[in-house]
Order: sequence, then C-alpha cells, then structure tokens
Amino acid sequence: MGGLRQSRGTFPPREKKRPRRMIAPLEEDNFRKTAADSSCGFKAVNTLYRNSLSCGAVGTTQADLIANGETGEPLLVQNLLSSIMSLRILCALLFSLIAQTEQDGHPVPIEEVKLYSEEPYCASSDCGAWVLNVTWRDKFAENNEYEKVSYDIVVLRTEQMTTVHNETIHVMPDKTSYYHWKWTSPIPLQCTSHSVKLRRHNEHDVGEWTPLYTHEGQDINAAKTTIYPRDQVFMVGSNVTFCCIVETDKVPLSKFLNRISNRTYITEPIPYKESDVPNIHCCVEGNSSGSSVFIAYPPDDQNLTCITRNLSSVECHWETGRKTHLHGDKKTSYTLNGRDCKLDNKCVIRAETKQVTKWTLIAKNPLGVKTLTDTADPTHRVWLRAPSDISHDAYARNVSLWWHWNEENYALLPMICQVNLSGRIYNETFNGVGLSSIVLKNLQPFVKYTAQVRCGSLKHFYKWGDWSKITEFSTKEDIPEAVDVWIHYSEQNTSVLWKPLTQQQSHGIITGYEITIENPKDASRKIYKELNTQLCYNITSGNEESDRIIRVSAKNSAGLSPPSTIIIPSYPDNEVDISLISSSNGSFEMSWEEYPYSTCGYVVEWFPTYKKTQCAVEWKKISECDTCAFDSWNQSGAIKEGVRYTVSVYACTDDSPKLLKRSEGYAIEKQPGKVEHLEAKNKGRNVELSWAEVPLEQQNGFIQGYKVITLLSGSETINNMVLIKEPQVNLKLDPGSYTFRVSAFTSGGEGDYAATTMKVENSNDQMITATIVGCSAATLVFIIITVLCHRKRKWLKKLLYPDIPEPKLAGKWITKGIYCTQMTEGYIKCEIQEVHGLEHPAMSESLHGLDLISSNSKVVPAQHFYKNFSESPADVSYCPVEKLTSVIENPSYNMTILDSFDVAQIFDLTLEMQDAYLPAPNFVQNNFVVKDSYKPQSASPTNA
Amino acid sequence: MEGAADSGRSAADRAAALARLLHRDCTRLLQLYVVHGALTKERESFLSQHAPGSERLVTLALCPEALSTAEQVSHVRSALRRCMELLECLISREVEEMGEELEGEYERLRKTVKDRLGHLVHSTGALLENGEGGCPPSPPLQCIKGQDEVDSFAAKLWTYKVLLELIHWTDSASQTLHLFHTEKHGQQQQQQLL
Repeated sequence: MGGLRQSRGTFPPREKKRPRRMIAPLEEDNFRKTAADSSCGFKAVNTLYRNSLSCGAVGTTQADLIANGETGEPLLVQNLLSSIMSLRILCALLFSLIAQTEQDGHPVPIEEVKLYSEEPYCASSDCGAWVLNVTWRDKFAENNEYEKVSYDIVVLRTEQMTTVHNETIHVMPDKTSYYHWKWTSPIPLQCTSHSVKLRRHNEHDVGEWTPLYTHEGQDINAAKTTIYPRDQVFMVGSNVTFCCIVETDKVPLSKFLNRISNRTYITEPIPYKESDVPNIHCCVEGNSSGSSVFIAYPPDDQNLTCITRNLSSVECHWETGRKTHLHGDKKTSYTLNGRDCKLDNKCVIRAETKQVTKWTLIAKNPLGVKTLTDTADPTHRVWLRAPSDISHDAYARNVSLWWHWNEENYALLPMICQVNLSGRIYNETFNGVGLSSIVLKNLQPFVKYTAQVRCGSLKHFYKWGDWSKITEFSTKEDIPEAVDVWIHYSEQNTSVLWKPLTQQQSHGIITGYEITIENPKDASRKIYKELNTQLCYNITSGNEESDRIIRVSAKNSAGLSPPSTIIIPSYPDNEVDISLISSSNGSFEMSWEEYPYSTCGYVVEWFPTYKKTQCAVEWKKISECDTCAFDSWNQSGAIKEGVRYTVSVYACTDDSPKLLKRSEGYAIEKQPGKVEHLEAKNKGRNVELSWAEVPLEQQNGFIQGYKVITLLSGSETINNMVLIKEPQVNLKLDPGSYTFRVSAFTSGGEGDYAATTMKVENSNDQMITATIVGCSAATLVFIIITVLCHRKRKWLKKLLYPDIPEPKLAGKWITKGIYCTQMTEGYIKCEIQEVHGLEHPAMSESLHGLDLISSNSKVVPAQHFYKNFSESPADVSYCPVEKLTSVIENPSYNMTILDSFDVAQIFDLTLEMQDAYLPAPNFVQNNFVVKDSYKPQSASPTNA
Repeated sequence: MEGAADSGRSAADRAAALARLLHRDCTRLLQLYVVHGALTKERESFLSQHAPGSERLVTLALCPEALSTAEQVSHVRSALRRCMELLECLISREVEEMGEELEGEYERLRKTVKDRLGHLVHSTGALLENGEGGCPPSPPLQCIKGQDEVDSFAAKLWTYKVLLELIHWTDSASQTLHLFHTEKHGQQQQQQLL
C-alpha cells in the first residue's frame, strides 16, 4: 500500500501545514485558475516553490531572503545567488513544461477507485460497519516518485448529497501499490449510502474530481425495520448513534428523530455508562425492531509471572485487573506464546528448555488487546508442590519426619526445607537432594506437637513451596526437672516446701515426690518419705546438734528428678529487725546489700503476716548479682491486695540460707475495716470518744488515722469533723443529741464507720454553782447599793424625792377662763384661754413650744355639751373637769372636786402650785383641751 | 381401591400445589430477568407489546374443543414438556452467552424452575391412567441457540417470550390440575355414597 493517511477529524488547517510560498508571475494565472476550480476552496501548492525545493534547500533560503528584500550582501554572495537563481529558473521551466503537458489535454486520471467497509467484531453478521476504506491508483504519482502528492477527498451521504467529511492527505508516491485511505463514520455505513470523490493536486495544479464512488447502505433494499448498530461492543463512555431503517413512508415513533435518507432515521449520540446494558427499540407501526449493544472495557490484565512446579512445564499467572463486563464469546481470550489458554488467570505450557525463556501473554477482547511478557530461566522459578504422606517417629526429645514427593523430577533437585512446628517456624532448615526426611531435636518431653513441611529450590531459591498437610505427634515422657525447694521457719515448726512442677518441667505425669532427711553426722538417722501430691513437709525440731540435709525429688513414669537439696541449720539465725515497706505500683520493692558469702544468689520469701497457715509461703530465687551493690525485688501478681506480708531476703550459700532482711508491708493498701468498741463518755458538754483499733487482719493497710464526724442526731449535717491519729478524742459540744461516726483510713481509702449516739446536757453541779454564784453576786450588789443608798440617802432623797412645798392659792398668778359662743346649727364654740401675767411672757411661750399646754378651741354640739356635763360626767372627752380631777394626783395635795358643779364655778377655779408636776401627755390629747391648769413652780425662778 | 383413589386424589392435589408454586416461581423469574437483562421498566412496557397473544411459542393445535378434564391434563402436560424444552434451550443459550461464572438469584431460580417443571411433568404423567391422551403433542421446538442470525435483542425477546409461556402454562396447569383434583374428589365421594 502507498502512503496511508487516516483522519477522523475535519479538514486540517492548511496554512500551518504548508511552507510559505513564493508565487512567480509565470504561474500566477494557473494557480488562480486551479483555486477557482476547487469546489471546496483548496489552495494548490505553488509549483515553482516545489521545484525550487527539489533543486536544493539553499535556493529556498535565498528565495526567502529575496522575497524579504534584503540587500547589501558581499559580492561573492551576490554571484552565488545569481547562479542559484539561474538554476531555479531552469528547473521551473522544466517542470512547467511537464505541467503544461498535463493540462494541455493529457490529464492523468485517478484510477481503480474502490470503496469497501470494514466491520468490527460482532456475533452476528451485518451488525454495523463504521470504517470506510478507499483505495486508488494514480499514474501521475507513479511517474513522479520523488514528489509529494496531495489528494482532496470528500465523503457525502449519497441520497441527500450532504458532505459529511472532507480532507486533504499528503502521500509519498509509491509505484508498487495502491493508495489507501480510511474513514470512520459517525453512524454505521449500513444506515445509508455514502459516496466518495477525490482529486489530486500538486504544486503544479489541481486535478479534476473523480466521479462519485458509492458505498451502498441498507436503506436501499432492507425488507423490514432494521437497526444499526446491533450486538456491538462499545467502550464505557462512548456516545453511540443508532439508525433505524424503516419501510417507505413509515416514521419511527420515538428516539429516531433525525432523518438522513428517505428511509433512515438516526438518534442523537447516546452516552453510555459502565453498568449499562443498552437496548434500543425502533418502534414503527406494524414492524418494530430492536437492538442490544454491550458497554465494556478493553483487557486490563497485569503482572504476568511464570513459574514451574514440576520442572517440566511452566505455569503462568496474571491478574485480570478491571472487569471488562463482557461474557461468553465476547469475554477476554488469552494466548500464551501462541497457545490458547482456557482459564482467565492461569495458563500452562511445556517448559521447552532450561534456558532463559520469554513468555508472552496476549489478552484480547472486542475492544482491544493487551500484551504481557515475562522472561526467566524456568529453573530459577521453581515453586515446589507440597510434600505428601508425611509421617513421624517421636521420642522424648526428638522426632523424625518422613514424606514423599509426587513429582519425579524432584528426586534430583537440591532443595531446602522448612518446618512449622506447632505454629512456629522451626529455627533450623534442612538441605538435601530430593529431601524426604528430617529430624527435629530439642523437643519438650510429653508434649503434643503439630508439624508441617515445605521446601524450595536450594540452588536458585525462588519461593517456598506449599505446606504439607499437618501431622500430629506427642513426645514421650522423660524424668522431671529438679524441684524448687525452700525451707520455712515458723514459731514452732520448720517446714520444707517445694513448688509443683509446671507441665514443661514435669516431662510427664508426676506420680509423687520423695524426700530424704539426713544427718551428716549420723547416717543412721536418715528419714525417707514418699509423698503423693503433698508440697510441704513439716520437720519436727528435736534437739539436733548438727545441720540436717533435706533432699526432694519428683517422680514420673520415666524416673526421679535430680534431687534438690537444702540444709536446715541446727540453730537457725532467724532474728533481724523488721522494717516496714511501702508498696510501689502494686508490688513491693525490696533492696538489700549484696551478701559477700552468697554463692547461689538470693531467695525472697513472703507470706501473709496475720493469716498464718501451714505451707502458705511463697518464694522466689534470684540469681546472683555480679555488679550491683543492691538488688531490688519486684513481685507483682502473686501478692494479694490488702494483705500484709512479711517479706524476707535470704542469701543462698553453700550452707543453710542466711536471713538478710525482713520487712512487712502491703503491696496494695485497701480500705480498712471498722473500728471496734466505740464508746462515748460525757462530762457535761465534754464528750470523750474512744475505740479499739481495727483488728490486724482487717486493717488492709497501714492505719494513717481516724476520722471522727459529729452529726446532730436525725440529721446528716456535719456538726464537726476531726482527723486524728490516736484512737480517742475529746469533743466539747453544746447541749443536744449527737451521733458520732468514727472510721479508720489508710492510703487505700477510708473504711466503714462505727457510730454511736449521745445526748449532751448541762450538769446539775454546774447549775447549782451557777445559781449560787448568781445569787451571791446579786446579794452583794444589793448590799452595796443599800449601803451606798444609806450613806447617800439625803442626797438621794433630795434627788429622787424632794420635799413637796405646801400648795398656795395665788389668784393673780394665772387667769383662766372658758369662753363659749353660740354658733349656728346648735353648736357652741368654747375656748379655754389662759392669761399669763405680764411679768412672765417668756414662760408662756416656752410652754406653748412644748405643746404641753396649748390653747385650742373646739366646736362642740350644744346639746352634747350640755348633755355631757349633765348626763355623763364620766366621759373624758366631754368632761374636761373630771379629767383634770383625775390627773392631778398629788399625795400631799388632792383637790376634791364635786361631782356636779357649775361651769361657772370651774371657770373661777385657779390653782397655784409651788412644785412642778407635769401631767401625762394624754391629758393634752383630750378633745377638750385645757390650757395649763397648773405648772411647776420651780420652772419659774421668778415664782420661786 | 380406596387407597389408590386416595393416593390419586392426593397426587392431583400435590401436582396442583406444585403447579401453583411453579407459577409463582416463573413470575418471579421474569421479574428477575427484566432486571438481570437491564430491561428497565421503560423496556418492560415495550416487551409487553411482544407478549404472545394469538402468537404463542407453545401451541397445541388439532385439539378437539370439548375435552374431558383428564384430556385437559394431558393437554397441559404436553405444553409443559414443550416449555421444558424451551427452558433447557434458554439455559443453554444463556450459559453460552454469559458463561458459567454467573451464579446470582436469577440463575438459582432458573435452575429451581427447571427442576420443579421436571417434577410437574413427571407427576402430571403419573396422574393419567392412559398415559398421553387428548390432542397429539406439538412438534419439538427448534432451539434458538443454533440460529446464528439471531442477534442479542432478538434473543432477549425470545427469552422474554419463553418466560411468558412458562407463566401461562404453569397457571393453566394449576387450574386444570385443581379441576382434575376436584372432579376426582367428587367421584370418590359419590362412590362412597353408593
């Protein structure tokens, strides 16, 4: 095929593709003529320019320079330019002659134009072709093999003669073959007929258009309603345009809205998503049709890896990647090195050689092809299969494993094997050619194990093979390990204790223990005991004169453990000061000085201080410390909360253990228990509370003090709260009923309280004393006052009870009168007036200011006035005279007034007193105001 | 004899119940197919235009109009056998197109329908004393699987029609077998009265 150019786009921008041309006057007319002939307005390439290109690139440069009007070059250059110009003119003349020959009635036509369509993959035939192929031959191009030739191509829809594509292509001439051009249509070519015409143009001229060559559509002869495309596969995200060919004069009811020929209608481009399985229906009256297409992805397979499992064939694996959404005959097909693969992710072919091999996988579906490759020497890609028929032969501390290989080629393969022993990789690998047995050592006796084996190629290890099936076995029993023995001195007994062996230590089922007690100085006194499950043995303390050696062994079906020895001294040194230790993060921290004679480390022993039960002793052996001066011991988990422990540190020596330190304390303090025997005594308002300490077993920590809360009985209001350290307290309280709550507290918190109630009263003695003291004080004060009064009686008398002078009548001192006048409506206005002597004006004013005696007038109904005076003389309001009589009470002088008297008589009455005696205020408030009937004489020195 | 009548009666009853169950299964299968084949509701209405009215896939021509109930049972059984052939063809075609890997609810129910339809054909045959009776069976249908010219849309349409046929004939079988059971029961009671 000749120079191929395919385009799906629109006509390319010509100006960018063509070099700048220089038009010579000679061809100007031809060029214009050709351009005018071009129905699509294409521009012809300038012949002279093409010729100049053929003659040399230097000429092009020079021509450009000339065209730009540049001058002033050196003479040599000018000569050179003129020579080139001559050459160019010569060439131009030559080619214009050729062109003239063609245009002068001898055109060379484009020949053998052929159109054919190209269908994509689909299950059924005639499912829709999109690519139109155009081939042709051109003798002109064949005769000008060094020239580029261009062709204008136009595609039209035949029936309506509408241009759907035009394009100019540039090809290099090729004598030997056809030119071939492809065009992809936006609708299937079956939808309607398409026609193509083309013409050549070169630098000399533009050729004539060829006749229209037509590719017929199915709308010409389709017998029934037909849809295109159908059954085709499209990429996700594609926009698909469907066409429906209907019978003449029929119109689709929906979707197919655009008519492109007499019988063909097309849809708008329909976008399709990943999950779509589109069906479209061309609903035409009497003859409907439908189409289904598939929306999918091209193959996306990755990571091809080829291995060999049997050294004779190769297995290639790959990942399928993104789902294509294609099934059945449309799904991705695979070939490996040209051989079809049945599975979607694995393919097996023979390993032809044991050299480096290249494997090529081609994954193909209707939307595309993906090629994966892998290169390797198969012997470097050995992935062994699992050992089969694995068996065992177990002993107490080792086991032999056997297996078989199902592949013959493994027999000569150097391999390395690995064991998974009870879920953990055994720390040793095993090598061998065609390895089929191994021995596992250092196993625990009397333990169930599981084992799996896998192997790989030793020389070129690629990866471990498959695990074999699991085999189970149990190791046999072995003698137990030595027991951990300790000795404990209590107040009266000495006990030998030993710890039960763990499953790992017992190496079988412990059937009992053997204990021997020897006296080194007297071999005849050896004691031998067999104990079943006992872990403690009390040794009666006799008057031993020498140390005794205790040996303890555990026993199982395999035999006795090595004896554990401990020496009991004849005189145990068990006296040290006991210190208190505090807890730290829930455990004890003990430290002790290094003991120089310690040969086998130290032993820390602890037991509950107050709950002494036999054998309730625990211990821990600590290996010798080489460098540190102090060892600290931290034990958590084995210590109970709130329990006081006695912790002792012994040095382990060749002789008996040496007690270094003993302490007591709590690992974790808790709230203490209740205080006991809470009593309250009172002495008057003093209350003395006392109680017994919390029992030692219930203290649960170091008692830091007590909290005493005093409440008023029947109330939760705290009256008083005291924190003390001693188990008693004195409180001074006011009388009342009280409740006392006493609780102990430790660092672990406050315990429950004990409560008591008491009533506090004043005591009788105090009352008597207070009464006597009070009476005495009152008596003394009375006596003193009496004496003083007696001594100062004259003064007092004068002050308090002066002599009252004899009353004297002095008619001229004060003149008082009541004046009454008759008023309207039966009222009488009466006014009492007093008239001071002219010699006492100041006094008169003073009395007025005090408002003790005032002048007033009152309007009184006449009948009341008379009536009151006549009928009810006791009414104070209307009987001022009687009031006067009552208020002037003088023991020494009482003026008697007759019960009934005449007003005129009263008016004439005048009193004169020498001593002052002020009347009560209510006297002034009488409605019937009386102006000073008397006044103290002392108030007026003049009177005196 | 009485025991045989009892067993016959109960067998008819059981066959009728199986037909009812199968009818429900087929209805559900069609619903699943519409979803399965992405035949949305819009398409469903379009497919319903293609429902076989006079144009059935399974037709039993040459039958006398007035049939006894037993002959009707035979008639229905013949149709069910054709339906079974269609279903097997359908399954074969779908497996070829979609592959074996798909195993959803549609595929499971499709297998159930096939199994139950086989049971129904068998149990219906056991009800008939004289074997096949009534009208002659229609000729075996050509499986669409072998037709190269059938495109996907046509195949979907055909599947839809097959499922409609299944629904139609299982419903018909249900009614016929119920009638058969009722008649048998009536006859049995009359015999007891005599």
